[in-house]
Amino acid sequence: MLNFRNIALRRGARVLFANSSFTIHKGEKVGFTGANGVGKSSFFALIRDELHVDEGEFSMPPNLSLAHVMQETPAVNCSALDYVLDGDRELRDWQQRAQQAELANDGVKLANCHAHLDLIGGYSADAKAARLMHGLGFTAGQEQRPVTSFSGGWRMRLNLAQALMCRSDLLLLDEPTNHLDLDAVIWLQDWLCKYPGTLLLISHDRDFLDTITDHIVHIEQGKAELYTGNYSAFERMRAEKLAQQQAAFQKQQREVAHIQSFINRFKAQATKARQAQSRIKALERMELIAAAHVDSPFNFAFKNPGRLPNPLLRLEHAQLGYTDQLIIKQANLSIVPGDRIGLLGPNGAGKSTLIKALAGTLPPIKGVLQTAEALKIGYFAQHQLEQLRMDESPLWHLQQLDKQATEKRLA
Amino acid sequence: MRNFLGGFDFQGDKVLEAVEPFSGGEKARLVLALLVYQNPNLLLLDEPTNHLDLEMRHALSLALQDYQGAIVVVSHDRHLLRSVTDKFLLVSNGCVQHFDGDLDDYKNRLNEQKKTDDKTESVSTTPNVSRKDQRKLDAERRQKLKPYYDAVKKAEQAVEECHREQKQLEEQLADPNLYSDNEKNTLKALLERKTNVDKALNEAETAWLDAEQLLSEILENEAG
Repeated sequence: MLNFRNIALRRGARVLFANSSFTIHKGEKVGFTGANGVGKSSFFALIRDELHVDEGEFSMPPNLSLAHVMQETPAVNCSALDYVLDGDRELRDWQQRAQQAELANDGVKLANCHAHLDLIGGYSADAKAARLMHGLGFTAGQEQRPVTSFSGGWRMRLNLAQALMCRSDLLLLDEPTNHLDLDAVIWLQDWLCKYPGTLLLISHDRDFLDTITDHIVHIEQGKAELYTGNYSAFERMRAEKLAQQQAAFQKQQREVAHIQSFINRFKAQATKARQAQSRIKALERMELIAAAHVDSPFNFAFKNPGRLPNPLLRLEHAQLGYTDQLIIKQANLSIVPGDRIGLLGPNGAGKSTLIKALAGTLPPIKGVLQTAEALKIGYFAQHQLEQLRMDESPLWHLQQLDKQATEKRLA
Repeated sequence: MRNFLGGFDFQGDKVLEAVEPFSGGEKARLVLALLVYQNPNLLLLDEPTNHLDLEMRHALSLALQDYQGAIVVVSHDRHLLRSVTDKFLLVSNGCVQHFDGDLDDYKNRLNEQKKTDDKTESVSTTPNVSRKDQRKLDAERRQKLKPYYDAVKKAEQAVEECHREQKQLEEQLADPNLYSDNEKNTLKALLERKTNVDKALNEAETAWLDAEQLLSEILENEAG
């Protein structure tokens, strides 16, 4: 169905990949992986006819109905629901014809349009669009709000819903989970598993890829190759391939031994709690995963943090939120060294609010936050990306931290 | 310092270049590097994997495994959650409670919730409806069917109209005086009109039949 023969793609002078041949068949669910910048999105641009091969041949059947997520949301005043419905082009087409027939007072034509709308499920389209929106985390009542009233992240979700609303044969999704929370990711995963068309999916989410895809196109070292199976299957092949190189093999052995010692330590102290047991399984899987990534360009570790007061901090009878909106009515929480806590819960229920309160950037409305004197918080949130000094370098940012530390010591 | 940044794959001149043109992934990586550098004893991570590729996510989970301080994390990356945390707190309905389960249990819980939500939704639209709702539904149904009924009625009227005109023309054509030489032009015009009306009648009848058929099909579908 999608046929790539000996293709090469360049961006400027750089060859993204060359000599790549594979075929994607109807109904397949293909994950596209590889480091950022290797050219995964260029594949999508090629399929959408925005980019052309520099060498080789790419072909796909004409008249294929293609859906993708728009990167921009036009500042339109229509309701969110209407915006999502626009994704269904066939529906909109017949609705428009019905409207024209009505204006022309052409009863027969109008009746025809309505019959067709009935046939294509036009009368349940509203409900379908609303279901998509709820799955992606919109709450009941938000459907009628104008598109312009939503923030950037939420408009991206509207764009995603619009793409899912389209009656497509081929769906292109480029990192769809980036702006989603866990509940929405789980919902989207279920939806995509049931999607009957061909799916091409760029994602860096291992569980998401593993559950949905049956093929992987991996791009590295200037080549795109198709593998049968999901991402974990691809990793097993890669680990075996790497093991054939002496240096990589030795590194694999070292990594696996390191993870193994860690698992033994953790097993000795792990509770019977379900998540603690799940973690043991996840860590055992890490051994396999690590073997497939020994050639990773990343290598960093946290240093020993030194003083570990017990508890690190304590939140007592805390009410959290904002002056006009109370989000958490009651929080009692004490964090001690060694705690490894994941926060779950629906969108907007207060996960980020709780983290902000723990970080001390959002003082509790009521109750107290007690912190140990030697507490040293490392807080990561998306908005910190915008707080980087755009005109300065990575090295400069690091030097600033040293300066601050020295000043603190001298003060 | 350069070595340290190298571990986050900021190599060579990249460590000296302005941050401005960096991709989202590179910026997120730098923020994480700054975090690791400060040597904290409590890590608060709110969606740390956004924009990070698989390779970096893997490196991050390895680093977090060996970390000796405490971690609180929100993430939609289930692999990270599973391999880094060993207990969950559920934040919902204004409360923070211990969640006794793993991610599979959480997924099941979401599915159960959705089932109940769907049920409550469907209840409000099917059989068990009040009289007022029934009237509303009937009105909606009438509204929906109205164009079909209208179409049949209109087609029927068109046929009648053609019939009437045809009859009139036939009466006129029955006049013997029309067939004299000096009425030749009138006759010709009348015959032409007759041909047109015959054709129009034919079309109107077909349209009528179509409209009737469409209506009966829809009523049948509703019944089925």
